[in-house]
Amino acid sequence: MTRDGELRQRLNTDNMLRSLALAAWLLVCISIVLGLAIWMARGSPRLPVSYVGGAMGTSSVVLCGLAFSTAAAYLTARAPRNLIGWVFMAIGLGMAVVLPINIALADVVRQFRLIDTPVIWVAWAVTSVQVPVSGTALVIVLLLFPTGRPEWRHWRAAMALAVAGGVLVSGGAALRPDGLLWYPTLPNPLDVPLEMRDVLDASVALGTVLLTVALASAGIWLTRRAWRADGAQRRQLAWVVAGGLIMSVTLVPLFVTRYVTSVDDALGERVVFTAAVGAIALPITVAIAVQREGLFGVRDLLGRSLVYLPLMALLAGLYTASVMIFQKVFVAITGTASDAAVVLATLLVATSLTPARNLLETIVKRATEARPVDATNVAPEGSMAAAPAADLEARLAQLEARLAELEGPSRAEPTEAHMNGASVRKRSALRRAGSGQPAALA
Amino acid sequence: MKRPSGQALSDGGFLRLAVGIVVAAVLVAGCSPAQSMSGPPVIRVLGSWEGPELDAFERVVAPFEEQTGYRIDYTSTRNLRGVLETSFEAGRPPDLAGLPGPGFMLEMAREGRLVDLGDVLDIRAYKRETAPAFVDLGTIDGRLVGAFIKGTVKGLFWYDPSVYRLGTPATWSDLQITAMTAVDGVRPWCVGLASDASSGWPGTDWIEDFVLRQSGPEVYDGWVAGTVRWTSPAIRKAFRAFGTVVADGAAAGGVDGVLRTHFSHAPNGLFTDPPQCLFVHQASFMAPYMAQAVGQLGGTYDILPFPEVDPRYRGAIIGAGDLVALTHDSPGGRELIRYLVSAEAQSIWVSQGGALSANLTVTDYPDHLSRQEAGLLASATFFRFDASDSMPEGMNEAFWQAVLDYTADQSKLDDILAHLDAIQEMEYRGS
Repeated sequence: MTRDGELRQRLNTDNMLRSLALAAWLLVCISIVLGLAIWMARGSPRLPVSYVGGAMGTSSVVLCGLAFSTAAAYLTARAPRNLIGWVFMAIGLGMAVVLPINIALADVVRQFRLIDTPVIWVAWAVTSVQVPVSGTALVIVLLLFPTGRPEWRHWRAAMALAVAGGVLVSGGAALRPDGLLWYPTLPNPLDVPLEMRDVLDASVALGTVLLTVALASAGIWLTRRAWRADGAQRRQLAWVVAGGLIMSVTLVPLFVTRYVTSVDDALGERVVFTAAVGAIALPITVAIAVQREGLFGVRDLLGRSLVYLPLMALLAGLYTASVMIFQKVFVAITGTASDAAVVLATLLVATSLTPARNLLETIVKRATEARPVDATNVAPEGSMAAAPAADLEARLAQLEARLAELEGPSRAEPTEAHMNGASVRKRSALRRAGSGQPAALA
Repeated sequence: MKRPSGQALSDGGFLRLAVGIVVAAVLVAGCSPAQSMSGPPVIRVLGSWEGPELDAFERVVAPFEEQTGYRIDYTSTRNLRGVLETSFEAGRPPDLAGLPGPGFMLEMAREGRLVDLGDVLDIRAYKRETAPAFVDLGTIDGRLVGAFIKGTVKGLFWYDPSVYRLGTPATWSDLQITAMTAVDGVRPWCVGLASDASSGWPGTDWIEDFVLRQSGPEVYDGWVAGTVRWTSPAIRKAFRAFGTVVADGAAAGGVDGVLRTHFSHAPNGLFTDPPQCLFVHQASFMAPYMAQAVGQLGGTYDILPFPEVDPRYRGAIIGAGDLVALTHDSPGGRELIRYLVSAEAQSIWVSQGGALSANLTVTDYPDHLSRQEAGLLASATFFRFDASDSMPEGMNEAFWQAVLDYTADQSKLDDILAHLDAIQEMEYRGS
């Protein structure tokens, strides 16, 4: 196959992956928004799931689902082959199914007849897999950042610890003899005899320790890497180290209170909410590292992400709060809730959309114009890895081709100064790469 | 010789004192009421069953006493909350308590007074075999603290088929019209609201049936959770519907009769000659009381399910159940609660009529009434637990009183509901 053919095929595959990510993101949004609407229309009842049955727990699930999937959509849009985006998307998808399942189970557990087996299996899958796998995935993200490939020489050990920890925690939850952990009303279809409960408890505790060690070692490695790096690379890593630290500090208490010991639902919900806020620090800081420090060369694309991600959160928050307030008003006036609250909240959100977007665009524009793009970070399309020496020549050729494209007449009429500036920065990058200077993470 | 005060104990003296304390402690423990010096060991049970229900309980535990050698010391009270509080304060709670409902159970569990049944029951079997609604209601913060040992269908209309012969009305309006016109000179309803300290509760069942069937499960759930106000149109509408039942021209004996008649005697009016009424609205546990009335007065009885009020909520059913909890962790208490949830004990309950098994593997109901009731529960599109039993105890008691006040004077509805709103504000604060 010719070089052109290879590139074309690669481009097609990338486009397909981007479309897939976009579809997954839409699916997450639809699932969460619909679930939320149904739950609120029913008067936001407590759901039959421990730790996330109330408003705070439901918000945690919604927050994580939206944050991870949105960050994933932006990362995969720019670098569809990078694993980090897909790991984030998997976490987002996992979160997106939780609310609809919880709502469906709320109907099922209030019956006076035995529950159908498929329903129990769905709940079993969520209770066994959701959190342990997400925890393991987050450790893996730290190990893969930012290239999507492991670069630490001990990565295998750290990943093995994370996977073993995840498997032990997940297995412990999957085999519990006294019902499903997150859905305590339901029996466990794969329960082991009660006599084995101590063994399971021990394995879950061990799994939690392994996951914690893996998380700590990945974090320490990333911190050392940031410490030793300089320039743009250091700044990029610093953001993610901060995100990883916040995530770890909040995630470990969740694992301990959920899997090793047990607390009442009210405290559990606070722990989950804190963990959710902490966990989304990682996709947020990855996005910041990418945007502010020019990682992956996606300034424009991610500038938009910084507008639309908060916009979505803002509108979701506005919608939720206004439905609650309108419902309270209706209850105060008429004594009962009304669907009109949903209609009014929707109108409010619709009218707020454009002003809020304009405001956020202005803020983001001001914030991002201040810092120039680090030329070394402008990676060739489809790659986020630092260029190995052997590929340097090929990458130089790609960069030259890209430069020509940027400077060509098809570009949307940039000013001459801008063009010159871009050219100078990019040529300087080429010179540095050619002279063997260390490239920042790209 | 008396030891002078203030003198330090010698080593030997200290040892003797320590041994003395240990021996005394052992003796005191040995003489504790749960383990009397002579006779079989005792398991103390506190509950509210009396009359035919108590007879049924005694028949259920008889094989247990025989097999294990334990003796059940049962105390019946209508003031469960007060008696339980006192026993806890005195440090002598019963081993097992029959709780009036999930609302009170929640309060007890949050105060740390109930033993986690996860370590007591075969939790795998319990969750696999028990009605999910009952497992859910007995679970607080992921821990099973209350076990249902029998179920009840609420909102049944009991009647004498030799008097009422017009079949099953499809809607509440049809039933009202039919009941008013079916037999000349016979009032549609017999209602008895008296029940000692808990008078008024039979009326709460009426109102709950109306709330669920008029306004649907969301409003019902919000009402139980304290988010729907008592002064809301939905609850007001339900009270007004109940008002049509206890109005002078509708209920046998008029308002005075309704307020004075004990709920267990309400069925008598079905079987007198001539009959005083066509229907009694009561739960499935009424079967033994009906049998008692028939035994004294003759006749037969059958049931109609509560008809549809709003077609959107067709098939809605309210149920209730008898909930037991371990209030003192003792070997006898553990054995008894394990026995009570077993299929063996449940079969004995249901074989006597008037009780539905919480264990769904028990299906050998003795008569067509029980089978019909079990069928209603199993096929319900919406199953909800008795609202008043799920509310905080203070709210529940205020509801009973509100029913009595409203029955006595329907023109005071606004004040009554406003008062209930104030109680709701207080009882749900912080929950």
